[in-house]
Amino acid sequence: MNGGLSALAYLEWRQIVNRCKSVVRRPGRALLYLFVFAYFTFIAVFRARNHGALPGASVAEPYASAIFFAYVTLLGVMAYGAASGVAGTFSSSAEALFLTRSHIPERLVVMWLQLRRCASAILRMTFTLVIYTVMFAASGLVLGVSLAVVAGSALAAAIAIPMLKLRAVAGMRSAQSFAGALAAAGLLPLLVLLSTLIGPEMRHAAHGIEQLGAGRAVNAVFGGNPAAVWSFFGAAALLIGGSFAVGTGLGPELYAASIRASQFRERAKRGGGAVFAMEHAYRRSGGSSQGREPLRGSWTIVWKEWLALRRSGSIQRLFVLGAGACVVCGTIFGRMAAASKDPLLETALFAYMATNLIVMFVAMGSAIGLAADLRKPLWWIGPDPLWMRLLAWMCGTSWRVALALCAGVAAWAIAMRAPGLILAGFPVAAAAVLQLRAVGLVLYALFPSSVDQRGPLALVRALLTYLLALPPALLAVAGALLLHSAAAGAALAIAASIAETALLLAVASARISGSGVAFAQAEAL
Amino acid sequence: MPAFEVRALTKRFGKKLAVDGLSFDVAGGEIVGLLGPNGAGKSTTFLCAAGLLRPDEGRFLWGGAELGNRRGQTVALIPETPDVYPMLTVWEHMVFVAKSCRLKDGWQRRASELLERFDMISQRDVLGSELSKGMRQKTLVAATVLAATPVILFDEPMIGLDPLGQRELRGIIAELQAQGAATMISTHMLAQAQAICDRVVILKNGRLVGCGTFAELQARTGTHADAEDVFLELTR
Repeated sequence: MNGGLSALAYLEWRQIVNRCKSVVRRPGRALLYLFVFAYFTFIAVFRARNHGALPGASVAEPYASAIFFAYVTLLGVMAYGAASGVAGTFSSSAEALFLTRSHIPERLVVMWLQLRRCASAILRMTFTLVIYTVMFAASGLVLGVSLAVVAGSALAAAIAIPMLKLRAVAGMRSAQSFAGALAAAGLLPLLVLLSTLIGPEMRHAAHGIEQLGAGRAVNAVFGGNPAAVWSFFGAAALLIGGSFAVGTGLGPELYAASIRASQFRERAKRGGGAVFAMEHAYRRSGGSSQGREPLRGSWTIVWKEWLALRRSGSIQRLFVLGAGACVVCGTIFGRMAAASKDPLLETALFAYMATNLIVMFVAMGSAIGLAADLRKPLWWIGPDPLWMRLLAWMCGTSWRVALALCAGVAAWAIAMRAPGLILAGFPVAAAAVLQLRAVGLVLYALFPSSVDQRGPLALVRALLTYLLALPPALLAVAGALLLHSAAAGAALAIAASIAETALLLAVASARISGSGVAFAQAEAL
Repeated sequence: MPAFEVRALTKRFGKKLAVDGLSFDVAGGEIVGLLGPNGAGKSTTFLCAAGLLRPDEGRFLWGGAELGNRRGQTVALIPETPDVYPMLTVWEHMVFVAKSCRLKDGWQRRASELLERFDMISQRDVLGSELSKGMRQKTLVAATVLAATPVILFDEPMIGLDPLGQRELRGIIAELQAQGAATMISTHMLAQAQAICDRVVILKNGRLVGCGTFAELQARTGTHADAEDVFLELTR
């Protein structure tokens, strides 16, 4: 056991050391990491000086219960992914080969993989929390909320291996059924609770769900109640410990799940962010594409992305799920704004919240990777300049997110009983999504390494998105005030956003031009 | 000499039958070629044998003893796509293998020798992410040979190697044979298979269509043609 631990510790330690060395060797990357480190330090010191003891938080019903059931749904979805055989356990196929043939006890390997997954999830969430403190500075960082998020991340990360074991023992269908039941156990009460925000019809059922005590548990954890917080961490520890107990005979499942997960990550980097780009399982019945190629030149890239969507059941499901979530959110916020005494203020708050959510989930989460395209000679065939190819790629990988957002905007406008808002909302949503993609693209052109993309660049993407959102936002306000027309303000904002997108595209194109293969190689570093 | 035995291996991917009741043996000190057209099931067979893919049916034995889930400790696979740890140097791969496989003292000398034979001693401190495909292949071969598993499966081992690398690999395979290792080589290079392998196993659509020495297969097909013609005759 000790020899095994020493080998695994050596493996992790040397990889960390070599990664640090590779960062220091390139001044640009070193500066990037230094900036992010300085930012974190500044935020930590700033928060400690200005707020001292952190306040507790109490969430009202039905939101508290909704948070609980939303988390159960998330656990169910993650469990379903693992039950379907997608879980990033081994970091690469090389690791699978080396660890499978090693003499390290299998339970220890599985336990190690669990701990590493949890540590990685905790790191990512801690990173997000620091950003959260800036974006919602006025509300303060709540210790209980932070601990809950960290424990929740660990628990969600730890569920994969027990599910893979269940899949190996009971079969894929049984594991999927279990995970589906878990997701449904969260989703159904969540929908009932959310429906009360739209109308009173389900109020009685929602009251029954609120009486279950889920909301009280959430508030106990958020309030920093030690017993509640420790129980949450204890559940995560139990799952990790359980993995040690059941972690035998899992080699093939871990290998296959890791390969699928790395394919998923690869496609997610290419295809518009992790949220909407899951296309690991191409359907064989995708149909022929013969005779249906309406796009020419670089726009063939859009056609290629369209084929990917048509042939992937999972990506279609995710798209429908994302669009559905946007419609639900739009309807809820629209109803709330319509019922409010000050609809304009409610709308502004909604726009602010939506922007932050988009930055959190789309801008931060969409690490870009073009290696799979750039290294293919086929991608370069044709006379069109690179900027046009990149523009086509941006459109081809952004339209799904734009469409989902437009669905949310439409639901919001209808709930507000102001369908005219759609006319402004649709182009604004489309321009915003394109600009988000352009921000990701230009940062990829500066720092193509996938490690940087998933790490410090997430923060830089968020900050740059905010920075670049300022001119369109200011122009919108100025235009609306000076010209006494909201439509004119929206038009100015869209024009500014398109100009910024064009500029970012030009910079990215100039950086990548003539160095496609070098970028593809740098992405692996 | 103990033998590596594959018995009634079957693997399906959905409705597609990738390997269908495949059985064969590889004796210790023997080199067996695994041949077949694209999609015949060669890589699937290797992945199942190395414990990286769960077969639907089938058994794997070494010296008559059943190999369980941890057969990777006995059967090492060198895949066609040579993946190494991007953030470990060549030498650190050797150290990790030595630690994780609990190699006895003296492995350093053996590792240095292997790297020297592949002309990689000057690359020992280069990161995996900075290696060319051929270099990654050599690193993987060196690390696998260092671990000294009794059964080694090479999937298209010569692809990506320079002439010196190919010659050294042939030498290493011959040494493994002399040391009693059971070696299998999957390849499309038929002349090379004929030169290196004692016997060949030929697959088509996941089924065994031929097994034996080239002379035996020539006799079976009733021709005195070369390896290519025999292969094409059996897989037609």
